[in-house]
Amino acid sequence: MDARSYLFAVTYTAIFVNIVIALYGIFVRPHIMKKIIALSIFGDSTYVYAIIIGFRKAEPYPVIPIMTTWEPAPEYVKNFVAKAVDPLPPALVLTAVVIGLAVMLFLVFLSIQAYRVFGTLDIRKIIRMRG
Amino acid sequence: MSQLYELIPYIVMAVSALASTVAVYLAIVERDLIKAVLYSAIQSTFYALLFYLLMVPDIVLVYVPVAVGLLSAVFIFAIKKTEKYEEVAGIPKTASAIILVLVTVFTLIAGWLLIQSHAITFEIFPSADARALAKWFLNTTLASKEWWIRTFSAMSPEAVTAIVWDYRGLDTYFETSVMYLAIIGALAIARYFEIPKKEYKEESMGMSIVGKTATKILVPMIIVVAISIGLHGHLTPGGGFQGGVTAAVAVSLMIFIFSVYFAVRYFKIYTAILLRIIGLIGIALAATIAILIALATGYHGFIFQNQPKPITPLEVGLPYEIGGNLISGTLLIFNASEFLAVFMGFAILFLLLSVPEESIMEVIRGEIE
Amino acid sequence: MGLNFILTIISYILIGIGAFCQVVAGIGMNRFPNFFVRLHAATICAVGGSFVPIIGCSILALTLEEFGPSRFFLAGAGFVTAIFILLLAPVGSHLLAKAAYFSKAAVLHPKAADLLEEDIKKGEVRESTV
Repeated sequence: MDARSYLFAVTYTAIFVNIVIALYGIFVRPHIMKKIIALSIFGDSTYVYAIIIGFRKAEPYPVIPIMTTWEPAPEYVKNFVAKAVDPLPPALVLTAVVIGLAVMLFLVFLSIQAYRVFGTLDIRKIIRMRG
Repeated sequence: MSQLYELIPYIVMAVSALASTVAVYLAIVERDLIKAVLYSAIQSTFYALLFYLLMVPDIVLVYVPVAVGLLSAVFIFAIKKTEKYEEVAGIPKTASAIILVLVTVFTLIAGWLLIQSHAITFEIFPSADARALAKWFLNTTLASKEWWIRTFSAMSPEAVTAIVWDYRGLDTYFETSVMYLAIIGALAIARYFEIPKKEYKEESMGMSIVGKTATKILVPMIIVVAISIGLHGHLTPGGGFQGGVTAAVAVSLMIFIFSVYFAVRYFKIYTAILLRIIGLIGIALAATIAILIALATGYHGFIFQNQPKPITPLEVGLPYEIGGNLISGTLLIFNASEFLAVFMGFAILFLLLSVPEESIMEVIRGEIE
Repeated sequence: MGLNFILTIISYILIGIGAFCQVVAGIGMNRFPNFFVRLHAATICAVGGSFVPIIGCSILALTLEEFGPSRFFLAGAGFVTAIFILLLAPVGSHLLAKAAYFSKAAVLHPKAADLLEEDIKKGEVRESTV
C-alpha cells in the first residue's frame, strides 16, 4: 500500500473507534445528559463516513463541487467532472445536521422536564422510583 | 520533496481523526459534565477540519455553528438547570466490558454487511472515477448552450444547493417538517411559559461592560454575515440552513452576555413563531408556484419545478437570471424562506430554554398540588 | 530584488513567529501552576499564534500571481479575520478570568497578594456574580 492509502485507512479506523466509544457511552453511562452527548457524537461520526464515501482520487487533490464561472466552456465542464468530489453526500448530510440539532434540543427539553418531575437524572434511580 | 508536499492533506486528515478519537474517549469517560461538553466541542472542531479536507465547504459552514456553538450552549444551559456530576459508582464492570465487546462486534458486522451488499464499495482508497449519478449532477448543474441539458438543469453553479432544493427537493421538504414537529414538541412541553417581565437594569444584569461593548459591535455583524451566507446560497457555499444557524448564534450570544430580559425586547416568542410561519409559507409557495402559474395560464407544471421543462411545448418555469445576475429560479426564494424559518425556530427554542427556573417551578408546583 | 520577494520573506517570518508562539504557549499551559497564569499562556496562543500567522498568510496570498484577481479577495478576508481575532480574544480572556474568580472555581494557590479581595472588603468594588 502506498502512503496515501495507509493514511486514509488510519482516518477511517479512527472514526470507527469513535462510533464504538460513543455507542458504549449511550448504553453504559447512567446519566441522561451523558447519553445525549454520546448520541450527538455518534451521529456526527456517521456523517463523516457518509462524506468519505463521496471522496475521490484526483491528481494533485480533488476539487469542490462548485463551478467558478457562470459561462462554462465544454473543456471546463469536462475538467470539472473529472476532478470534483461527489455532491450528493454533502446535500444529504446538510439537512441531517440541522435537523439533528432540533431533535437534540427536543430531547434536552424532555430531560429537563424529567428532572423537574423526578428530582434526579440518574437512570438507575428513576427506574427504582417508577414515576 | 514534492511527494511529501502531496501527502500533507492526508497527514492532517489522519492526525485530526486520531485527535478526535482522544477527545471522544475523554468526553465519554469524564464525570464532570461541563468538561464532557468541552471535550465534545473539541471533537467537533477536529471534525470540522476533517470535513474541510474532504472538500465539502457547505458542511463546514453548517457544522461549526451547530456543533461548536449552539449545541455546547444548549448543553451548558441544561446542565445548569439540572445536575452537574455523574454518579459512576455502581456500574458493574463485567457487564460494561461485555457491552463494549458486543458493540464492537455489531459495528464490524454492520460494516461488513454494507460492503457485501455493494451499498458502499470500500477499497482502501477511493477510486478515481465518480458514480454515474454524481457525474449526472455535475454535468447538468449549470447548462451551457445545449438545449438537451437545459431540460434537466437547475441553472446554478452550486451543485450541492441545486441537489438540496431542486433535484431532491422533496427530501428537504420532509426534513423541514421533521424540524417543525420537533419545535412543536418543545413548545408543548414548555407549555408557553412566559419570560417574566422584569425591568432590564443596565448595571446589575449580564456580564461586565467589556463583554457588553464587544457584543454590541458583534451582533449586527453576525446577522449581516448570516443574511449574506443565506442569500448567496446558489452561487457560493452557503444557503438557508447555513445562514439560519449562524444567525441563531447571535440570539444565544445576546442571552448569555446581556440577560434574557434584554433579549426578550428584540425577540418575543410570539413574534418569532409568527416569522417562522411566514418562512414556512414562503417555502410552500415556492414549491407550488409553477403549478399556480400553470393553473392560471393553462399550461403544464410540476411541484418543486425550477426551470421550464420543454417536454411539451410552452412549459412554465421561473427565470434563471434577472438583468445578467444569476438567481436560479426558485433556489433564491427557498434559501431566503428557509433562512427565516431556521433562524426563528432556533430563537424560539433558545428563549424557551432560558426561562428562569423559579417561575417554572411555581407553575409546576401549582399543578401538582 | 522585487517587491514579491520582500513580501514573501516577511510573511515567512510572521508565520515562523506564530509557530514559535504556539509551541511556547503549549509548554506554558503545562508547566504553570495556577489558572490565572495559564490564562496568560492561552492569550498568547490566541494572539501570537493566530493573529500573526493569519496576517502572514494574507501577505503571502498577495504575492502569488497565479491566483489572478482573487488573491486580493483572499488577502482582504484574511485581514478582516485577523482584526476580529485581535479585538475579541482579550474580551474572551477577561470574561474567563472574571467568571473563574467570582465563582471560586479557580484556586489561587501560590498567592502573593489579592488586591481585588481587599477592594471588595473596603467596598470600592461591588461583589458581582457575573
